[in-house]
Amino acid sequence: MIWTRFISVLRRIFRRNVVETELDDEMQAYLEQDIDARIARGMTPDDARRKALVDFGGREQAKERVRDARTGVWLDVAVADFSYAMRMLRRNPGFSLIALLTLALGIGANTAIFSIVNSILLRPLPYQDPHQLVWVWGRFNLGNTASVSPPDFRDYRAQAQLFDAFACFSPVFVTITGNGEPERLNGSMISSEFFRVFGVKPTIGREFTPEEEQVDRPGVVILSYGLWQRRFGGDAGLIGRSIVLDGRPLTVVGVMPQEFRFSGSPEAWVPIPLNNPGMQSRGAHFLRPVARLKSSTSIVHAQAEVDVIADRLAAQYPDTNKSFGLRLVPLQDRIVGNSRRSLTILMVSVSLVLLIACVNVANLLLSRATSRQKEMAIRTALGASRGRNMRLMLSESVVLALCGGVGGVIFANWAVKAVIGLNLDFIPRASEIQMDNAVLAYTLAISVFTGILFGILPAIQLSYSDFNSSLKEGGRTSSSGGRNILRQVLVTAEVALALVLSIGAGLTIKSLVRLSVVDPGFKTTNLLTMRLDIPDAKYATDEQRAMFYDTVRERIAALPGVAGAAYVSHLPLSGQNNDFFFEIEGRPKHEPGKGVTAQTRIVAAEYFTTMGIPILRGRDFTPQEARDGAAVILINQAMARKYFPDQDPIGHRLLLNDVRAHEIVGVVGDIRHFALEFEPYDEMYIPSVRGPQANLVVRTSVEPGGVVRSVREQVWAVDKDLPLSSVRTMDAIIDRSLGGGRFMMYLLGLFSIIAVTLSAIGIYGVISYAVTQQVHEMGLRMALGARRFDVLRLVMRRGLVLAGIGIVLGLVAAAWLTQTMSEQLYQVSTTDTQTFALTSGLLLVIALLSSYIPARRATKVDPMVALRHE
Amino acid sequence: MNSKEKKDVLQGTLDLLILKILALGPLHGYGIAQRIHQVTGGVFKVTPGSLFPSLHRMEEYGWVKGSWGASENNRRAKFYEMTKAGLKQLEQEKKDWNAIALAVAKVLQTT
Repeated sequence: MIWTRFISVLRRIFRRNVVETELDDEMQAYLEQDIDARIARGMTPDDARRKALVDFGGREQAKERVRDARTGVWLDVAVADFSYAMRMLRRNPGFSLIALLTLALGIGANTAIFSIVNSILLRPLPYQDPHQLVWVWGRFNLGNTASVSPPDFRDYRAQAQLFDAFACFSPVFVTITGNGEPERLNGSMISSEFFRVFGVKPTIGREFTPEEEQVDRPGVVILSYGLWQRRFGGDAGLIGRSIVLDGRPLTVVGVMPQEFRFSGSPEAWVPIPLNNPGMQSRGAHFLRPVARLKSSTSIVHAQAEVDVIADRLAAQYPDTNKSFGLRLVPLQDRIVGNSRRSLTILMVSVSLVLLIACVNVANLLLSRATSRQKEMAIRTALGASRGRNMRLMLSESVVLALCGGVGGVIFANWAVKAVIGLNLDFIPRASEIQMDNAVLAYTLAISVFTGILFGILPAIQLSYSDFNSSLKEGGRTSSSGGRNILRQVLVTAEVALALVLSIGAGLTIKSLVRLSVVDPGFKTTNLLTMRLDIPDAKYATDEQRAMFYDTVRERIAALPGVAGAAYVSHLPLSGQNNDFFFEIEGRPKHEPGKGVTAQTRIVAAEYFTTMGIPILRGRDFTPQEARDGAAVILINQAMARKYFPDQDPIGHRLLLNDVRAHEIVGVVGDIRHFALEFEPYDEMYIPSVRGPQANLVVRTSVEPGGVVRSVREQVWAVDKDLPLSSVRTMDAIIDRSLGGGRFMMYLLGLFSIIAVTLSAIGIYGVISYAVTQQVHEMGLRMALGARRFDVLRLVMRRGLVLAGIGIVLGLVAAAWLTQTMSEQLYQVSTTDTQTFALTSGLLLVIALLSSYIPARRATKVDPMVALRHE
Repeated sequence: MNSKEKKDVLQGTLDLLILKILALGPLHGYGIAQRIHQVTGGVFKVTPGSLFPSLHRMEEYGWVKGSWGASENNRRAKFYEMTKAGLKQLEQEKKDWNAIALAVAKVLQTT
């Protein structure tokens, strides 16, 4: 039954003519049969026809009743309204074009931002049953985001019952050699159930077995699809063959599917050797667990379970586990958590832009209302109801908005591609950003909503206007005062919204400016950095590595254009960090679990001079100390102030990680290690660099890009198989760290420029309309002796009042809305007076300018012409 | 949609009459009108203005099926034919009508 009705509706839409002709034929047949019957009864043909027609009744009415009886009669009306609306839009190309552009911009910006929000925040993670996935943080009393030690991981994995899989990973860098250039890859050590957590299986080959975790040095590897294609041409025969990673042969056992992505996009996975002697310390927190909850449980229950295990471990191992536990968070929160606030701000801003666009189009519609009034009056006179008229007006605005929506999708598609093209690594899940059906549905919804929103006021206004007076030819135009007030209210709102956006953008700009002039505590220009990874197969002992580092350093330092070179374990502003527990000798020791830590860097000779970090007290390491790893230490000023407020720290000894006492020989300046916006932490520097990884920093006297090649050559002259990675200048690193803020700034800035432009157009429109309405009055005034300046002032005052009210409202709204931005701002108050004042002033000037143009036109009025116009 | 039709008793009655007549065999619009006129002894006179809306609606509901054919005196006419759903509907309408008739009769009997 539904089906037959559906067919019938379709038939009427697409075979309209056929349906109508059939109906006509059917009635004709009825009539003729009636006539035939009457003739058969003995009537004359003429009589029969006449009688039959009388009996038949109104044929058109009968047809209309048939049409009304059909399902979805509204559809016919909608189709009629739609085609009427299209005609109206085509008849006013200027109006339509401006309205369409405005709407396309507003809807397009919304669609683009929504595609990002949808892909990042709303769409579930691309794993099987993503809601069951949890990220597991280690939790100390102080910090909430620690890693987990291997023995703890093993205990939790063995004891927790509410998980389908409890796995861990630890990022490593590996170097692949053979089959072409040496290449350093992001790798990951994983426990055997890692892939099961995500519900993925290798495309070819197999996962790791639990036995492979037990081996001291893993002999197997799983490759990413990308690496498999890139280096091995997608050869399926690779499974079971061996490749060389970090100088050791490993057997390839599997290749992961192309679409599998997780944390840092590793390209090679190796089993984590949980039995390795280096993995037995409960105090060494470096594993990142991820887990899949059983579908029958909730994160709350699972948390309760791990809390119980934590208590058990604390009782068993009080020294290391007294205050240690786990904290479960939904994986999605962990991945996208930080971007939520920024995206919300963007979404609100872009909605304001659309709102302003709506106001502008509503204003345009209102200004056209005079010419539509007569049309509406005629329709009413012909029997159209007020509701029918309103529906027609709304259909027009919805059609307009839908066309704008189509433009918006095109615009958004382009914008989203551009955003993806920027390759922004500060956006989580950036590779997943796309415009899917949800986005299109959203666009359709906001288009219809927008159409109703900007159409409703003009429609009401028009359907309530006094049709009697508008039907009278030559009715005085000044009767539309009410409509003009409405337009003024709209423009005021527009100014207020534009101000809110501009203030948001202004605050972001100011914050970014503040941030970019922050002194990180070292000289950032002409500083080249890169990472060295030395395969331990080739350089097994500390001595071998120290030798390698020294040779490379000396060769690079001797290069022309290089002023100095040094090594550091953790490069500032690059996301690398590490901390050690320490005790000050001669002071009472901290209780277990309550120890204090400081950020710890291992540096080579000349690090401070190379970086430009000042030695404030005492001395730098001697070259001898730096080479031998002597028990000496430098601390930063923040740490000196905190722990030695009225003492000279030099000469005191620090016991690091309960192992070795180091004598403080100097105090160095503070640097911003984590991010420009974070105050310096307590930091300690110890010699000497001998580990398998180090950052090389090179101070250049020329543009750093110019020496990259020769630096590389020097490294490869010592070892041709050594990959250099992350070759970046410090300026580029800083630039990247500002990327997220800058992205926000550009978008907010763009939105506020659109908003201000639209509201300037709005003001211009309203004032010029008012001027047109008042030509007569202006002429009269000037005839009575008003000077041009008086007229100018009169007109501009109106613009100023509108803008003024809008600005006051906008300031209040902004003060309230910007509170949500506090986390995004660096050393800028959310009600920063300077920003509020400057943007208000700017908007006022723009309002003045946009009312000046029509005001000038008013002064050009020739009094005689204006008066004769009547 | 039953309840919607019930609002207009006459409308509903017309549907019932048409269905009843079509149950005897396919017929075109004019024939249906004539048959109702004859059968009711001239009590009901169905005009095209109510006949065709009713037929088209029932066609949409799938109770009747229309197809073009030749009439007795060789004119092209649209013949309506009862469907299975229509037969079911006729039974339902009959039941409803009998219930109403019974109820009305009861009301009339109470003095």
